[in-house]
Amino acid sequence: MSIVAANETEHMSPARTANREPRTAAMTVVLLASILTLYALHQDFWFWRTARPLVFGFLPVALAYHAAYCIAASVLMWAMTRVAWPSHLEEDPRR
Amino acid sequence: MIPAVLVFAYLAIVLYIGIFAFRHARPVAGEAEDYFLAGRALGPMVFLLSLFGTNMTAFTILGSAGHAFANGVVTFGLMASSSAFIIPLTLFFIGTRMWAMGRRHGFMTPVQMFRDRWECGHIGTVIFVVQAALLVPYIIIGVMGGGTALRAITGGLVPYWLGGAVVAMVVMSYVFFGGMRGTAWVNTFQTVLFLSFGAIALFVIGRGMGGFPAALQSLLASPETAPLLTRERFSPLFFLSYTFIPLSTIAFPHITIFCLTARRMAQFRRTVVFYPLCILAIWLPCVFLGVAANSMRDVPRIAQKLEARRALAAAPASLDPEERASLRRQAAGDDVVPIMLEQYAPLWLAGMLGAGIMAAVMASDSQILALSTMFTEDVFAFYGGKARFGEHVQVQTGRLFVVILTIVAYLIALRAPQSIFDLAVQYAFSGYAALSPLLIAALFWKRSTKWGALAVALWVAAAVIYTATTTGALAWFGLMPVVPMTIISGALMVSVSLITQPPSTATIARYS
Repeated sequence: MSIVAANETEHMSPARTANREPRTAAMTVVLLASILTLYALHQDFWFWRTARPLVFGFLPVALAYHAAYCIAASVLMWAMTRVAWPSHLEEDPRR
Repeated sequence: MIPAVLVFAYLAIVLYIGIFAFRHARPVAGEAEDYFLAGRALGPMVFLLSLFGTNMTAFTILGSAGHAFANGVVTFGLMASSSAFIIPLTLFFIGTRMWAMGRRHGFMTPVQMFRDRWECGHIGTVIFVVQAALLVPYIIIGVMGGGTALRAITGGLVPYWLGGAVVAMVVMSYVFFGGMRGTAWVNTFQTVLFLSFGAIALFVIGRGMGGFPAALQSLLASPETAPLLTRERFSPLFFLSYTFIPLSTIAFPHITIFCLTARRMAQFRRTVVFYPLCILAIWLPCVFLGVAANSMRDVPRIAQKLEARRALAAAPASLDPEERASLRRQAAGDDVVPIMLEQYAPLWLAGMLGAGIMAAVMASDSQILALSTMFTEDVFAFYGGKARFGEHVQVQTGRLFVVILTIVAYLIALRAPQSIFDLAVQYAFSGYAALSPLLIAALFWKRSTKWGALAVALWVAAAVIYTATTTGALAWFGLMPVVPMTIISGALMVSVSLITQPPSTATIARYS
């Protein structure tokens, strides 16, 4: 993530860099924290020994939790593509 | 008979897609790039669906339901949700960068990048050998799966040897003619089949069972099956270990090479967002059906499996190993979804299932093509073949390699027992996860060196052999061997790199 931030600032004007840098750093921290949090949330010990409640009347809670986890992963990925996309990689420095 | 007809129709469609791709070859980017990488021009939908299809094997439909039948809902957390997070994450960070380096420097394989990045030659060959050795069991398993599935679907009409030969021929033909473009289009078609199959099967079986709530209540009511709806029989550390396994995906050569085929880097955007949802759409029905099958005690084939499981649980430690293995085979649930469909679905759906199974077992196409790409680029071209004979001969060599590899895999599949290769595939996952530090170091760490890379490759080879031949090896503190293997691999890359000479600053600058 820091690599993304460092390269992005190289192509910006000084004024834009000054405005952008604190936001990028904060965003990097937020995204890193989100990634670590989602990784930690995979280890859902709180639903370890229980099947109930049955979500929609038939999905054991642990299964429903991990299904929702997949959706959360998708949302996080969407957020990352919006705010941390390494677009500098698309430019070929040889050109 | 209807399922067999549908399966053969499916095989014909797949073959046609491969030959259609051959006719649409546009060698604008050079013959080799067009054949091995589809001219680096795959569009967003084909890129997403094909990448996903490449990762889906026979295990996804049959094995996941079988695992859930025996172990319960834990299967989804172990294998699906961890992959739904880790795989897109690695595609986001490693896949995009690999794509950029491939476009910038013209790489077609990871070993080409390692050689250039670390200024080495033969160390790259060592990495090639380790990668290839871990990939071969997949190809053999694919041929075996094809033979077994075709025999089962035709009710024994097509024997194993003929089924294996038919599947091997079809795969070989579309890889031979279509190269990466044909393989990607076939994988896209297969993924659409997977996705449709899961939803339809869930709906039809649910209706046939009289609704899932009743089935789940019946499982909860029995002390024998209620634990399947929780994870009480699994340790949290074992569960945690499984989050390391998806690291293997980006290190698989067929996935790394596939990352180079995107027309634009933007193709990765949609892929990383939709990948977790595709996993959810396929794995949730399979795992749920596998668990729900335990409630079908009135179906004789399911009842026999439950009885075998009971006998296995009650068996003394002194039970004869052969008898134990026989009970395990009887209790195995890999065929529970077909049994459920037989029970509740009309014939046409059983035929669709057959095509879905065939799509899954034919996932070895990408591995065959990847191994062919690696051989022609990392060995043939590297050791002077391309310079001497030209690019056209290189592509023909790649095609010849596809034929030879398929024939060898078929001959091995005829003679060797499947259990050996099932085991080999299992250890290959840990091996590739432990190889992932190579990619991370090459792409993100300037100070990494070829000696660090060599240490990782040798360690992975030794660790895979050790864990495969020694019971309980590297299973420290209740963790699976993949955890220490990957951590030691990373530690070796760092420590050996720090005490050895880094590449020249000019080379490092090209990767900044």
